[in-house]
Amino acid sequence: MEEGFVRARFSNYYSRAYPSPPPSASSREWGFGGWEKKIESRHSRFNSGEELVAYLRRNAPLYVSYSSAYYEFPDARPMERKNWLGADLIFDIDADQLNPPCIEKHGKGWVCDTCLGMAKNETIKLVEEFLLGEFGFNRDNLHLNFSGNRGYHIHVIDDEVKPLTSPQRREITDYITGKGLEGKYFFFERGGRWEGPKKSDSGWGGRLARGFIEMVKGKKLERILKPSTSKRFYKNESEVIAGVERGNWDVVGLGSSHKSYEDTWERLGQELGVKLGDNIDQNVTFDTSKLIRMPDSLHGETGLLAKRTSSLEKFDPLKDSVVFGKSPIKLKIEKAPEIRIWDETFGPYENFEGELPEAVAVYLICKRRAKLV
Amino acid sequence: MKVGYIFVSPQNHFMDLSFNARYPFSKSAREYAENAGLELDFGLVEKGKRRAEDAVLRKRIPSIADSSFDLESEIASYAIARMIVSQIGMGQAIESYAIAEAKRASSYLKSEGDESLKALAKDFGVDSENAIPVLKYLSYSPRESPYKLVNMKLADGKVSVSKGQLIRVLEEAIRLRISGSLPLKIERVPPEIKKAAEDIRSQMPKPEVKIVVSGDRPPCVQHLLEKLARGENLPHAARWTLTIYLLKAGMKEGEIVKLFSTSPDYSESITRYQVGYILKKGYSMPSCRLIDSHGLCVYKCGIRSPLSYRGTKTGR
Repeated sequence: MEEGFVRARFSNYYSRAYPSPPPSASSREWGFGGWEKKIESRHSRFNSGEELVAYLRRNAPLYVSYSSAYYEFPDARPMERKNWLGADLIFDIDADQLNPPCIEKHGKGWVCDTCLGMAKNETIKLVEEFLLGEFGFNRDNLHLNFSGNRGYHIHVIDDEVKPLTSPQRREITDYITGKGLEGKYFFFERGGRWEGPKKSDSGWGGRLARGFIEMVKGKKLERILKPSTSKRFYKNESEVIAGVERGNWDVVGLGSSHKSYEDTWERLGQELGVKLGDNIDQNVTFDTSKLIRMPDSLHGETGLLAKRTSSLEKFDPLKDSVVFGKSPIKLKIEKAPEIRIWDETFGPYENFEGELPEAVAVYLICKRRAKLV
Repeated sequence: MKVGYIFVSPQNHFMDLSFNARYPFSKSAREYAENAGLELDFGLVEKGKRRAEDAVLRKRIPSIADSSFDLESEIASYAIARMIVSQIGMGQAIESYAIAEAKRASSYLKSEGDESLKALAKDFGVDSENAIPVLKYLSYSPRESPYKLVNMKLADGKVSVSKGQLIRVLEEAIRLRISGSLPLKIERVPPEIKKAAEDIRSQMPKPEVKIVVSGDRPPCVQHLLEKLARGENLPHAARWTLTIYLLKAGMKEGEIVKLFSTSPDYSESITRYQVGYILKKGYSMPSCRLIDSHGLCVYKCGIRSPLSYRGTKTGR
């Protein structure tokens, strides 16, 4: 009954909306999911964007995904026969990967303003600092959208990134997450002095210097150093900061024992890098045959739109991605954490029976927290 | 016998002849050779054969100074060596050849003035001698920790490099350009070329270790062993995975080192060091998922680690 309800709503949405397909839609492999699985069928192809939209209207799939890859024969099987021609570069930021403090309150798989805000900040850092600032990608080639559930997707659509191989993409994620960072390439002895990156340096050097200074100021060094060492630095705070700003790490006293700091830089790297989750989460970036949610399609686990956005700062996923209305739906809820939709907070619920607005009902039903009465 | 064209005197817009002789794979050298002509005489075939032989069998092509000052025939010998190597018909020969050519070029680059270095960098789409566009860098940088992107200076889409680093990156770019352009498809192969290729093939060392093809190794490991047996160049992640697996499967350090002797860039001391390092560090076996993400999984066995593969020995 619930599945039918959701499908009818999705079908209704697709009949009035015209989600714009990604560039080169006909060179991509498409996959669709239903009530039980996010991808039930794949290896589909469409000859045009219109054909795709017609399919969405006819079938109202609960999940719509396409390959970041472009193929000569997107519907051929097995994979090798598709003839890979290149792929967009994709990043996935998910609130669950950020270890938000609110997880204790609402558990994994649920969202609130705190963790969605963290995901947004992480996305902004990835885009502004790394992709635009360091990698120098063109802003016009970055396409951002809400994932429809717990985070954001970034698509880099650029002819120059298309041919990147999987190991080359992994180099990019390693850079962004600070993995494999080694202090010995940033710190060195010169004329009896221990020199290192200064605040104004570009790339990871400057990031390490700035991050270190921030940690001294914010008394957070314990995250990367022993408590006793941290205390010593706090005591000489102004001297330490003045030194590091200029790249003179002698004041920090790292010189003599720099070897024992190798882990410290790796930890600092991990603190300052973008949290893209573990290997499996990062797969979306370096596995060039993965399927990714189509922007502006509905997400079957929330009923929210995987909405495209060009101004992340002002974007409010629990408002801007809501497409369903306020007509009352009768529901039974055993237990559900609170959720904000529009400007209103609903729940938490325990053994609730009553009417809720359609958009909230779709969300709770998709999350398997509510049943129709 | 004439195979196409005769050398004519160099024109002004080419880099000078000696640049082209040092870097015969460059666009400028190709342009030069296309405008010039080449008559395939006995001397040239011999010279090309020597170049191919030096690369494939001795892993080192001597620099111009200690062989000849005849710059035109130096360029021609490159073209002929490529034809011969293509005819050998073994991946290992192509890889060895590309590595030796890249090393030869790199030894010139080290003593090169700024202008020639700049010119060669430009040939590979690198416009500045101290910064490389990041996506180019990712294609050409060696997979070694000092060159790992996270340890480099990256700003505005450019990776800052020292002269030494630029040369190392160019060496890799040269290797990839040469190995990627071979084997050549030639319609009618002159008999002299065929004979030279046959001659070199017969002198190529047979793999020292017999690699047993049996059903009790996981398909990914088996696949890597077969590649090794064919003398193909395995990427770093593949060598790493294979070494850990073989150590865990109880193979002795020395045996593993020997196993890699078919690699086109084999160096016993480096291999010994690397295998020893893995042994010393006691790395755990990469999971199937990780192996898959490196593109090394060839068959979905439905297990989590190659070590839990139980084979197809019995039953089937």
